[in-house]
Amino acid sequence: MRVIAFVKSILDPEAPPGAIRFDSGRAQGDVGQVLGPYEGNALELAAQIAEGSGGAFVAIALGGKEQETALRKALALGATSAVRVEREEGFHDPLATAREMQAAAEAAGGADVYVFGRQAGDWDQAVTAGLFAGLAGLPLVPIVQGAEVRGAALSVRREIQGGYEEGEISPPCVLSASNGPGTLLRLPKVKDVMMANRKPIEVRPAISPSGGFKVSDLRANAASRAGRRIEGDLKSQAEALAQDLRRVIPGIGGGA
Amino acid sequence: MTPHRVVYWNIPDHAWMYLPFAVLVVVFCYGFYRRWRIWSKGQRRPIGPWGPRLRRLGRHAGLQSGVVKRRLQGYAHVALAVAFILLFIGTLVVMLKSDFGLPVMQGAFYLWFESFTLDAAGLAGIVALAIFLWRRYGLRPQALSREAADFFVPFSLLIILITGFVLQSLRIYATHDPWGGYSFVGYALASLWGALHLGIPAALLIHRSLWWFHLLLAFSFLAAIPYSKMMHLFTGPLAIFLSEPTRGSGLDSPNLETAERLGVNFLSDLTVKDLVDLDACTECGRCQDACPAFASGKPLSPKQVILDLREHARSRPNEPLTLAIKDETLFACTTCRACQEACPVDIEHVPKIVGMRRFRAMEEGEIPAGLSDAVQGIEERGHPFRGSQASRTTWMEGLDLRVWQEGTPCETLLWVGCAGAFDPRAQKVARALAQLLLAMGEDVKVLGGRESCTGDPARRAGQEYLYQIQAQQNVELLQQVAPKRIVTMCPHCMQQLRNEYRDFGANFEVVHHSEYLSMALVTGRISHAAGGKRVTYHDPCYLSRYNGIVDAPREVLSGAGMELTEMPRHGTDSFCCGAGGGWAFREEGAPRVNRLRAKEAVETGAEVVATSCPFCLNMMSDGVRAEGGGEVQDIAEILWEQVATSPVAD
Ligand code: SF4
Ligand code: SF4
Repeated sequence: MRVIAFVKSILDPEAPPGAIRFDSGRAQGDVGQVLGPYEGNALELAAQIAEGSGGAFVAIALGGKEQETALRKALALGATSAVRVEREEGFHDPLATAREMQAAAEAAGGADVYVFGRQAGDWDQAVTAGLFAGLAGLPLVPIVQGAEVRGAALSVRREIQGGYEEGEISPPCVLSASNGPGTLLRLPKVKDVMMANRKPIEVRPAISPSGGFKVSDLRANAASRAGRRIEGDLKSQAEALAQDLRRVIPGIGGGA
Repeated sequence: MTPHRVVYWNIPDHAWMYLPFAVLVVVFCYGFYRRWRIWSKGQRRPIGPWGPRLRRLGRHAGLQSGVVKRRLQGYAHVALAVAFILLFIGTLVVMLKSDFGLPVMQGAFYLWFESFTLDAAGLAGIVALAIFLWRRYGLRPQALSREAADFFVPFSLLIILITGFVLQSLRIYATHDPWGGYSFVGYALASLWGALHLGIPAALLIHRSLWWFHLLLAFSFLAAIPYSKMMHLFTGPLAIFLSEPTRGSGLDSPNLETAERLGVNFLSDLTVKDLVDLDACTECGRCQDACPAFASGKPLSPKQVILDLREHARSRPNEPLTLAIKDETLFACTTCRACQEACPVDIEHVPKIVGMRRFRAMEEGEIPAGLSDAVQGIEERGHPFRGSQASRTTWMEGLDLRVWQEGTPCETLLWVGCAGAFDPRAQKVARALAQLLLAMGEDVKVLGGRESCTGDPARRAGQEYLYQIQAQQNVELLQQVAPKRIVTMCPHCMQQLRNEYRDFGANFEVVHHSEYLSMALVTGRISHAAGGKRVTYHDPCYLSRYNGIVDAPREVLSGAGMELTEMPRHGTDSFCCGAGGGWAFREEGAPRVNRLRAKEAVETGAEVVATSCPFCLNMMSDGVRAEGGGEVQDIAEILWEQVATSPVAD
């Protein structure tokens, strides 16, 4: 089975809030780029399907040079090639993004299985996989926590409220990966990392400028930036935390 | 008449002994060759200057300084070794007389050396062997195995010594040796034969038969040396000679771009020293007794690692080492080096363990959960403290501390370390240290956001590739900063900056804050305080064992007016807190190492447990709290609290 995984580097979500600036409609700062958490699950899933079926696996990312973090990681995990669609970082209309993805996938020769992260770690839209599936006319299995190749089909395990379900799907299809024991991103082997650093990344232009909703202003919530450290021993820390929570969440803890 | 004795008395056909002797030589040489063949598979490392190696050899093999750390069996071992050296010399003297006709078996030398001294040596040997057997089979400590070979070695030596005395006594009895009294043990036994009215013909017959038995047993024992743990007679000194002669370094820095294999997975990936180590192990179990992983029930015994590798080398030398050592064993190690410190023949366990970890981490991408997150943290954001919302300068808010700017000079660089920057408890230590330095009027700067993890957790986890990237970047930056000196409060950072970064071109003056503060107390830049609390000090492994720094932190405590009470295991014999080797970032099941150490600390009755490593600080804080003890503080915090009000600047 030929697999295409869509990946994305995002600003390190673990960076201290003060280190991130918001201007020109995008978040920036002296903070590193990391592979989005669900894209990590997507990569793991794609690698497993490619390994299980003996097929090739291509990684595609949309954005600027910073996307190479994600693409290099994909190459280190066994992607046979990596493609970056050159476009500006920041928010893009999800349908336009899905169209770009479809065009890039076609240019890369198409695939039997398209794997996405369930949602990007920065914008959290969680719609691109669905839009892509709609544009491509393919079935979508969302929130996948594991997949196994069974002949020409895929046995898929997905998360549902309070548990999980298993089923089969015959490619071509679209999967959106979530985190679970079966999609935990493996550590790449160092030889593969070294090789990945030497491999070229194909860069192709975007097919059209982004349309639809445009971000005109972007700023952090003042309250959420003003974190404070609670000092003291465990008991006084717990009391101070309870007090803070009572203040910000009206109605809790008042009764007893 | 000149005192003397006839050699080979009552053994007219003694020339036949050259036949079993020839067999002994062949069997011995073949056994030795088999060992050498395995050693020759190893990677060769340059020996470097011989001076420190020979000095260490003299101390550890000649004076057996490591062996005598354990009093009773240590001195018994020294007695046995000296006894056999003397008995060997005595045998050579007999050979000089019989084979070369030299007149050495006579006169005062015969009486005082060949008779008296050798009897004393033989007796000491018997007592030593009795102590060994009593310990192994009477006390039955867990560290000592009780396999057939463990019995065979001391028992056959005992029989050789006893039959030697019986032979001597029969000769004295049958010849009415006028100088027999000098051989006081044989002489006492001879009087027994008299009391038993043993006939002379019977004595002669017993003597002759026993002589051949004694000879054949001694030859068999010698021939078995290369096939048994007695091989340590040769490999022990060799292992000592080949070991790192100075504290501090430890791991090699391979060129990963050209390496055929990353890490160690076959015998041929180990060094010659590693392979000699396998044959040098005496199976004494001291390493196991010292090991925190073993003590806390983890599936790691450093002794067993060596024995399993040895068995592997002998039975399946071309198979991968993953068959011999399991991942859970490899990753249980805290790299505390207590095993190496305890080992009487300087076997180096940690480089082997880290070498095998390198293979698992780099070739197979296998690093235990928790530790892999830390490694990923270093890769992605330059520190292993995932989830921290602090920046590299959060800890210094409100302090008049400057961040180094490109193109400016730097007198004293405070290397904060990831713990000091991101861990809330360690941040307080960083503040205390910075305040002390500022109060001393020190021109001190920090690197702020440009400081990045030294890579130590990655290296200990086996992720050498990431480590080398970190090391190269840091060395490059530090060369640009060119500080006069670097002060750090983290022994792990110090180990990197001072020792391990040398492989990447570093040559900086790096001091641990304990050294810097103790010097400030000596020179009067900080005034001594009085009336402190009762304190016990936990020696961090990377400060004490890796770098031999044990006095400086104690001097700081005494300068702060503290009254020091020691734990039973302290200094270079300290017991790990459980944080090393990447364990600071892993979930550890019960019983936890820190609890074992904290119990020792609490049992001293000290009001404060002091340490001088941010990782030890956290581990000990958790452990001491759980054990119902008092406060745990870094020496910098204690000193700052005690003398903050009265520092004396130059
Ligand atoms: S370094 Fe420490 S934990 Fe590792 S084997 Fe040696 S004694 Fe045990
Ligand atoms: S490795 Fe050293 S300390 Fe451990 S059993 Fe062998 S000789 Fe003894």
